[in-house]
Amino acid sequence: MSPSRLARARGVRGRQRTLAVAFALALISAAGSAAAADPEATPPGTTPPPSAPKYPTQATAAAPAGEGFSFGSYGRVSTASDLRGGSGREANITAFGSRLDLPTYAEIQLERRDRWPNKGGVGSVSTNVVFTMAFAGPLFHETGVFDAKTAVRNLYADTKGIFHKGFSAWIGSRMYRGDDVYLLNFWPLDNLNMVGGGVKLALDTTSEEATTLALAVGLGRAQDPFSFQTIPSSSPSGFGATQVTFLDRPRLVTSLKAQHLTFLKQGKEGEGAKPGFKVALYGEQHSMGRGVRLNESNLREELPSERGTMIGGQLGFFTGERDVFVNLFLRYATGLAAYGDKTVPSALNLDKSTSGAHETQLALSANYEKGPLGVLVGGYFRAFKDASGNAYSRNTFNEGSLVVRPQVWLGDHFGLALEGNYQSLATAAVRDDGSRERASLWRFGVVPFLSPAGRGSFTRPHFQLIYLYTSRDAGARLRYAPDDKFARRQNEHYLGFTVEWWFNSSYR
Amino acid sequence: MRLRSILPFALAMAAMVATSCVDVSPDPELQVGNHVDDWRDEVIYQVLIDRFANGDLSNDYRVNKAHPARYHGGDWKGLADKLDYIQALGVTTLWISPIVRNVETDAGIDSYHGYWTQDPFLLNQHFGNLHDLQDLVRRAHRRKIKVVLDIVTNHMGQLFYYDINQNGRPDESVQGGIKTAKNPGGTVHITEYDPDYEAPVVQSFTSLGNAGPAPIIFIRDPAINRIPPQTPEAWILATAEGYHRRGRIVNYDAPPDGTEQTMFGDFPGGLKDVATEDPRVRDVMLKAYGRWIQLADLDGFRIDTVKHVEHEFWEVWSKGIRDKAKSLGKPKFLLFGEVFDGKDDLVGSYTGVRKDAKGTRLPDVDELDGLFDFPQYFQVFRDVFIGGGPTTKIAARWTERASNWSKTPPAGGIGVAPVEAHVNFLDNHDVGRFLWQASGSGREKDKLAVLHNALAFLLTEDGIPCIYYGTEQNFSGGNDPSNREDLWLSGYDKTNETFQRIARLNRVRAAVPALRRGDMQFTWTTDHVADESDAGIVAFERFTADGSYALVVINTNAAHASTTEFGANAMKVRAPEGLELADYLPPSGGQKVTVTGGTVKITVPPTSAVILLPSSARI
Repeated sequence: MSPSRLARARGVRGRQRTLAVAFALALISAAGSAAAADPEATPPGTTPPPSAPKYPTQATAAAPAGEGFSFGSYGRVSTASDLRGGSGREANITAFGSRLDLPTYAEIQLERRDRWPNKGGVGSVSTNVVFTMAFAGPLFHETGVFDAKTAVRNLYADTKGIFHKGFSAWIGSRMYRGDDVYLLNFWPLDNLNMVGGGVKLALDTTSEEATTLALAVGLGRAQDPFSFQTIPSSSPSGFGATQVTFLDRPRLVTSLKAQHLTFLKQGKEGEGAKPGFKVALYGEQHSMGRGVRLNESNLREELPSERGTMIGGQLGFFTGERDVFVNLFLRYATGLAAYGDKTVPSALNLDKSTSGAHETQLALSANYEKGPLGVLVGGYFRAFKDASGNAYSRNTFNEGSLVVRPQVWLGDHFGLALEGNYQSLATAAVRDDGSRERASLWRFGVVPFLSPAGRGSFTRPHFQLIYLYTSRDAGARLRYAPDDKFARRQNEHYLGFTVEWWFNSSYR
Repeated sequence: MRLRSILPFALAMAAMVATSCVDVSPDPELQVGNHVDDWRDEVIYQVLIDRFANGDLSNDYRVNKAHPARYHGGDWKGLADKLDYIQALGVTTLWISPIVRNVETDAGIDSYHGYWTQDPFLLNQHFGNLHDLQDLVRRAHRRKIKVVLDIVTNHMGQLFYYDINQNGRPDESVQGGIKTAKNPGGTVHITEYDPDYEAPVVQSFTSLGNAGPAPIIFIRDPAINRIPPQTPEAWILATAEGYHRRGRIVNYDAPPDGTEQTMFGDFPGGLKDVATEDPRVRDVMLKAYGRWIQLADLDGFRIDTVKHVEHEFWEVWSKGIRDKAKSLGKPKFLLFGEVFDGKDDLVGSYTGVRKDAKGTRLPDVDELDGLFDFPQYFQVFRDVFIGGGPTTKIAARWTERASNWSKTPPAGGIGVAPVEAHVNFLDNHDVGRFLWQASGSGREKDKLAVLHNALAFLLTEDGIPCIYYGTEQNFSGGNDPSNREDLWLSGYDKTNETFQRIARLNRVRAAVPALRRGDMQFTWTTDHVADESDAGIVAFERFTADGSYALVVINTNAAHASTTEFGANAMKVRAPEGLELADYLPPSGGQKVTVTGGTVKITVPPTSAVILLPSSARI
């Protein structure tokens, strides 16, 4: 069955089957978020059911289809108290921790879909233009300040069906993502923010056991002295100065992903759940050219060229029933790639290069649901060694976080979730008193919620009342500035409301 | 694809996971204990950490190498990575600049030198973290190199201002006001950061006249770390009680006894003078610096601005530090200090020499193990080696020291009397470099020879020699900050003549016990500085009871070769009759002489030296 047929089936089948089909569709299309909406998937004007699962990925993004305009969104709005007369505040010490106290963030996504005759070919050719605007606070109603941080997160177009039914191509600026660890708000494998283009090929569009290949190339240039520098220069007119770009060395990122989906049980639609595996291999190559900048002495300073490689893989298992799955991710990155695509490299070696840095990352994401019960699990471990060559560097560290969220639905629209989270961080440095730089904390949350769209870990919107307790050890407290309340308080409370929604969104 | 085909993939992932951790618990294997036999064996090498080597770019905060008074990026890892260089030079002890957290910057000058303490319990992150420091010490100890830390107990950085006009802000000038006895002109220009000395404390005044003690306002500017100490143990230094509050020293010899301003005034630059007589302050200084001994396995302290702190402090504090060190298995922890003064009785007093009001010597007490020999710096290296003065001044210096410095080793100290533990130096970070001094004194043409000659004396006289980094690279900077050059600009050259000279001298010194621990006796000095046959000659013997022997002859005269003989007088030596002595300073060997009639006659070329050892010596 082709993905399009599978997707088309969603609109007419029962709820459970819809979930399974969307699940499979998403698996097939998840070469990052390169999977563009399939214009054949859903009749024009059809809005995917709000219960459409977000796992494995992009199911909702893939689901809305047809011609014309569509609107999508991801969003969360939070407000909380610390029960001490102050505001509730994010308290994670690792890069990724509980998402219960994440601050307000929202995206609106506008899409235009068209379908064209495939002259000389088979079927039709489709195009899709995506524009996603992101908003990251502050809320005017919170601060009274008529201002907000905004960013363009997607601005690209793709086309599908030229040359081959499974061929697609895109150009533009976009989030380029694979599966996430929802509980940690974390994309552990492919998670690029690039301006460039890419192609994808589904090798066999008629089989459920599909293999896809995706290639993407993009450029990015951070506004920092590692990549970019402007200096004043004498104006050609002979009067005054003009600003000129002196250093300009964008980072070129090439990514390649191969993914295969296999089912343990063959069968036709409606013949029950079909469990299966997803295997993905993923790699990135990062590079920057040599550069010259002016240093603090106004002397020319050579910056060597940069290289970095990331390889990784994903192994997933799904039951095909509801959103039950488990995903294991592993990535290993060296040099420039160890710093992430938008991170300004720091702790360089004596050649002012990232050579010598490496990162290993393991992540786990799982969901199990049965009857009124469910449990979500998310965790990761990250080992990073900087390029400095200093065995005792503060920038060399291991960190990890594990979140478990059991939940029970009391009826179809109300539920209670409990969340436990442990975070730990250890650097290679020691503090001035001789103690090792280690920090950890425990977090425990109680989350009664309303789920208008029904049961399911990934049904949205969710209206949550959140109580979150945090207990920091002494090391965790020392992660904060001395005058920060978090540096003095071992225990933290967070009581607040959060609403979270998504539909037709490429956020997840 | 089925389960079996997925299994290898899963196993590969598992294998990668198993090997994925980075080592975040590297142990510097610090074994706190004694690493010293006899401090007289040591050759100290003074390192200004910020200027020696940059081994880790990650701590390069506020680095600006274009400005001589800003951070340049050197760090402890940089020094640790250059221990081969240190060892090739032959020095055996590192004196590293202060490690504690500083006020970052003041008046356009940064705290790269480390003397502007903000919190004595915390480290200056510009130089690394504690592991980096521990690793430096561990790697040094592995090579038998000791590490001495520079510390300051007299003052802190510029942590507060005197709100003299009580307007709640630091003013650089206060203008106007009625004419008073204090303010006869009606207009006074002062800086509230660093006002002139005033006892018992700096007073405030407003347009209505005097207004009592000026309030002390601690500055809170975390961006430059200009904040009160934050470590709870240092709380007293975050209060006015911890300071003398008398403003800056304007007269080092002020009446009644010439010491009041020195003792109680702020060190010029607004460095706040702490109330070291307060037991709570003493406790902070004891705990803070005692802790660094333990945490970093240090072998000694070089103590800054000793003469600005009362003797009682040194008696109490030194004992406390020695007790702490002893408890850590360090019975020979070195405490030597800087009394930047040419007056030898003042310098010697900090070795525990006491005199009554009439100048009569009282029993010595225990203070510091040793002191920099500033009188020697002035009288010997400046006046004789550079200035061409009579070498009798050198012998006079020894006589003077013998009368002013304690001959009794402090209890629990290094086991050597202070009079034998004088730390000798040609220059340091507070004075223009030797070559700069030589250039300014008319020795431009032969300044390298003068330097080499002075080095020969420095490394063969008794006491503990100390070499300022960059001397081996012929650095010639003037006064601070010009004398704090970046060593990396030299390329760490080991082949230049001065580096080789120092290395050779250290090799000879290491091989000859007499040159390290032996007694020292002058065999020839002279008042002659002109065309006399012995003009500029200084000669001395070093010898031990078990037979180690050396005879050093130096000609400080630049004009002609000189001889250890004048008229009918020949140089008498204690070496046995008939002993053949050879000059071991040149690696390939130099001239030989034989003890004849109890005398040695040798002619030394202008501005040069010989180190005569029994010709059977093997080096």
